[in-house]
Amino acid sequence: MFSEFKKVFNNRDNVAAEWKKSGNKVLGYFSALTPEEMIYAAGILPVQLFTTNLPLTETKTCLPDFICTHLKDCLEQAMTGKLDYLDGSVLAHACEASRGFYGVWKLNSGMPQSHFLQVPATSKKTSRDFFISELKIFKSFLEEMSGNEITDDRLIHSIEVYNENRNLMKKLYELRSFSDSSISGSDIIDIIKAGLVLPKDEHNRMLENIISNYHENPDIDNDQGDVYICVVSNAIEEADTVIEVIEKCGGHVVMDNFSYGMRYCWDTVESGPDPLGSLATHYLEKIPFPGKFPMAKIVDSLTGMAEESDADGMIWLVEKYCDPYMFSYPAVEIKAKEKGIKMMSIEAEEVGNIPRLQIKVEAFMESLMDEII
Amino acid sequence: MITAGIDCGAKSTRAVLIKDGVIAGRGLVLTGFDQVKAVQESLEKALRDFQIIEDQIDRIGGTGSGKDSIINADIHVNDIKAMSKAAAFFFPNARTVIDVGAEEGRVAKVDKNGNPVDFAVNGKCAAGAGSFIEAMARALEISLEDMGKLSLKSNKSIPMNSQCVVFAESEVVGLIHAKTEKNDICKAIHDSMANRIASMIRRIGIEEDVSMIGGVSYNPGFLDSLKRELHLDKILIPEMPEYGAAVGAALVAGLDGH
Amino acid sequence: MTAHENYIKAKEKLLAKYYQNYSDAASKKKLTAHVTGFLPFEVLVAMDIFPFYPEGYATRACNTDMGDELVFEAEKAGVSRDLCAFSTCALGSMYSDKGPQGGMIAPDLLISSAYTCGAHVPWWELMHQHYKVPLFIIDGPVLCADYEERHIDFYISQTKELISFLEKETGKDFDEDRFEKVVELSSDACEYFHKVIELRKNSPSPVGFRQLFADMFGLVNVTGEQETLDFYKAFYEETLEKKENNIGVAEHEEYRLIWDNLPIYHDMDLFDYFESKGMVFVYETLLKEYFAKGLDKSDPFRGLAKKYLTGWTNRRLDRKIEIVEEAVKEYRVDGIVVFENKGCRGYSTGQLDVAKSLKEKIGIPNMIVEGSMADPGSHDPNKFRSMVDMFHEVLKSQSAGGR
Repeated sequence: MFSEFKKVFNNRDNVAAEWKKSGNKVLGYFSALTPEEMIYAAGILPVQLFTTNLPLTETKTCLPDFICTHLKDCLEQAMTGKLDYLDGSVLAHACEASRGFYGVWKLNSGMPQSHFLQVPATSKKTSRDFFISELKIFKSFLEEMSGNEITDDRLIHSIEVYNENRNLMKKLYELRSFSDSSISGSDIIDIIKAGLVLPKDEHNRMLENIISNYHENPDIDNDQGDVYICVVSNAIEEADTVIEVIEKCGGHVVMDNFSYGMRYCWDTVESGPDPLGSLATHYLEKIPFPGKFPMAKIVDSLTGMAEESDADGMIWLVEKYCDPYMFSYPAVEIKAKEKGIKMMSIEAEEVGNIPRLQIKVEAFMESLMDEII
Repeated sequence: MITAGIDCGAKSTRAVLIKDGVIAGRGLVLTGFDQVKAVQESLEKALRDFQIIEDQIDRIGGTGSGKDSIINADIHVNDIKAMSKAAAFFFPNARTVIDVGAEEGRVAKVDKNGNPVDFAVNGKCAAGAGSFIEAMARALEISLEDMGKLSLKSNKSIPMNSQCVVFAESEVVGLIHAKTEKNDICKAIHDSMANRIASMIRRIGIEEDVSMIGGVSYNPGFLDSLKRELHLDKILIPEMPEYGAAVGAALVAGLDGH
Repeated sequence: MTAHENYIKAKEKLLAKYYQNYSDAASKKKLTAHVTGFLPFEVLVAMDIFPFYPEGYATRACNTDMGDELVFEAEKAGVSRDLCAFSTCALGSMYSDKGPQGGMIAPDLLISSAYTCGAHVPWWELMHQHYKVPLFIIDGPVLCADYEERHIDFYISQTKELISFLEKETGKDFDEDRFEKVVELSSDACEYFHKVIELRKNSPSPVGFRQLFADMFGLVNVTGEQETLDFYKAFYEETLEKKENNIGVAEHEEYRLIWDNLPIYHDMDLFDYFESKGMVFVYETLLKEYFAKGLDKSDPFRGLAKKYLTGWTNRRLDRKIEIVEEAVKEYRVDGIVVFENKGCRGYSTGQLDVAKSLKEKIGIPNMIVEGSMADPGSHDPNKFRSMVDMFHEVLKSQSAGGR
């Protein structure tokens, strides 16, 4: 049932090629702070750039070692011709490394067109106004690239398609939360990943299909013991492995929080006559994003969601050298402790060694069991 | 004129004697805790090899991470200079030289006189040095020699992208547990190390001929990976490459004496 | 009084002024605000607030060999040592109450900025969570391009919001005249610092790396005071005299170098080692592109915006390359040291392209070395020195080859 999603993701180059057949453009993006709705409204296919675990060779001449794998891997893909199907790229400011990286990317990636989208750190009025001016410039960039004008009507339609996607994803999460759910934590990841490379309306059709055909499956033995775990991660590429290990150790992943995933779909973009303003509000205020102000928002959102889903423990899976997540960790830990939720941190680099990962996860789960008893 | 070159490294100490531009004697001992003693012993071995006594040596050049322990040296020779001079001595057309020792990997670009004009050294991390391969051989319970041979039998590419040696080791352990073929693991290890050395070379810009000294040059698996990584047909390796830096030090001592 | 005596005297007065401000703050006669580097301190000084720099505090911790201990304390609190090394030192001090002067002074206010470094906002948020005092964020365009009018406007709006915030917190009105005076003093002091730096075009260079990094203290810690201006004037006059007498910082200046990135605060002796080999730094992107800048006094708000939006990390990469190329010519540079600073990801990203371009276009050799500005645990002093020796060999070969 879900293998379709995996297939789509693994053949994402074909999806893009198919899209381009009709003369349309494809734009790669790096971060969840990118207003994809605008790209889609221009008739351009937005494609999230993923880590592919390439051997890093070319990038070593232009980036230091202590930059996250995601940025390095994307540049390696570009420098070795693996992103030639892209017509351009957009880098929304998410962290300090990404700002320095933009110049390196422009100089070395060979990308025909690139755009840096500034995202203010706060959502006060002056910042929001500035963000709108940034969105307007991004809009011109997209219009020039596609040759299509992004009218308010097109933008409103695009927001509707994306909101529908968010609602469907939310529904899926609800189905997932039943204890006899036939949807596993790693299925969810496949579904999310497919959504980041497909045209959203197609993803919506696929989601509608599985939701309408969904039935509880009492035969499925999810072996979902008593340990409820939530997983927070910026490394969706490694998250499925970790979730599989958790499930194998008898854990039940009751909540996830990836850059995409629950956080991404929880709130819809306000529909109204000022679509650009709605998008500004959404990306600045509604999506809690580590590294942006106020930190309390992401802290409360993560610990709150963990509490609501009765999680006993939180696994924090983060790519090495990711500043926004590393800075958030101590704050989340203090709050989680207050709520009686234990935390364990795993670096994405550790995921390569599954037996060791399993030992770590098992030990964590045992410590949680002791407390439950 | 007879000059001696001593290279006191973290793992072993090597001495060579050069008489009128020809290598005439060699000696190698494990460095151990007492570097001064190792220096003396390696020199004595080389003297016995050439059958002369210490007084017949005109000048001594010392190099390596333990060069301060070479108390009888007339001159301390910088590691980059030693490897560059050695490369020019063995292969006058060499423009890029690689030296991979136990604790450090280095590359240099040399001019036609054997002077270094650019260089790079691997970071603090040991994943670009010989001791990494040794540690991995121990984990795989095979000899260093076998490691090179087995690696050549593999034609699989398993990327290892770990930033540091601790993670790399962990990745290897993971591969062992996942019942990956030893051949393929050996190749993955050599590939990952070759990748580190190659990226240093790319930083300085590759120029042929490329030559390599240091003990790791004996490892055919590593050389194979490095050639593939750099798209090279050949890497020039002198006879007994582990004495390379010592030869360079002896040459500099000779030049300096004139 | 000789120029040198005058410099010493002015320095004493500058430090006395700093300690007076510090003790006023410590005894609560003045409010203390913990501020990030490179924000409009002039506004704070005009409002009679003591600006305290956790970043500067981290450098002092390193100078006094406490870096290791504080990083350890930070790790205990869940702060990764892979983060900004200033933040790990300062947060380590905050969570443990350890550090120079018996730990960091407690803030009354927290003021952060978003445009110089992405670490500033989340780092100040952790302080906010800990100290529970009001936090203000100067949002700003996160530039990696040349500024435009809308960026200046945005910055000015932030400065004005900062003023309202401070008026509310202090209950005092903003005094425009005082502000203009502070801006003037601050700008003039920076201009003198700029002139000091320009004197290094002379060979031999009359002033060295260590002195410049020590003496920039006043620009950030004692902004906008008469004592500050007097000091930088004296500093300039002393350096000028040295230049005129052809006194160089190194005994024998052989090679003139650029240092790209922050210093290594826990191993400042390293720079003496360079000089002992005749390798003299004559240009640092940090000093030149952040601190040695005056501003347009006729329009202080715009002036501040322009100054603070053109820090090195705000520059587009191709402009960085141009700037360094110009410096090579103006300062007759022989080589560049690229310090890949694990402790500052932002500064370190793009450095390799600058070095690559210098090498390919004008044949300037480089030394690339990784370490951390404030984490002694990820630094190997011996290895660093042996690389300096290697680079020395390369410079020798290059000059023999008649570049």
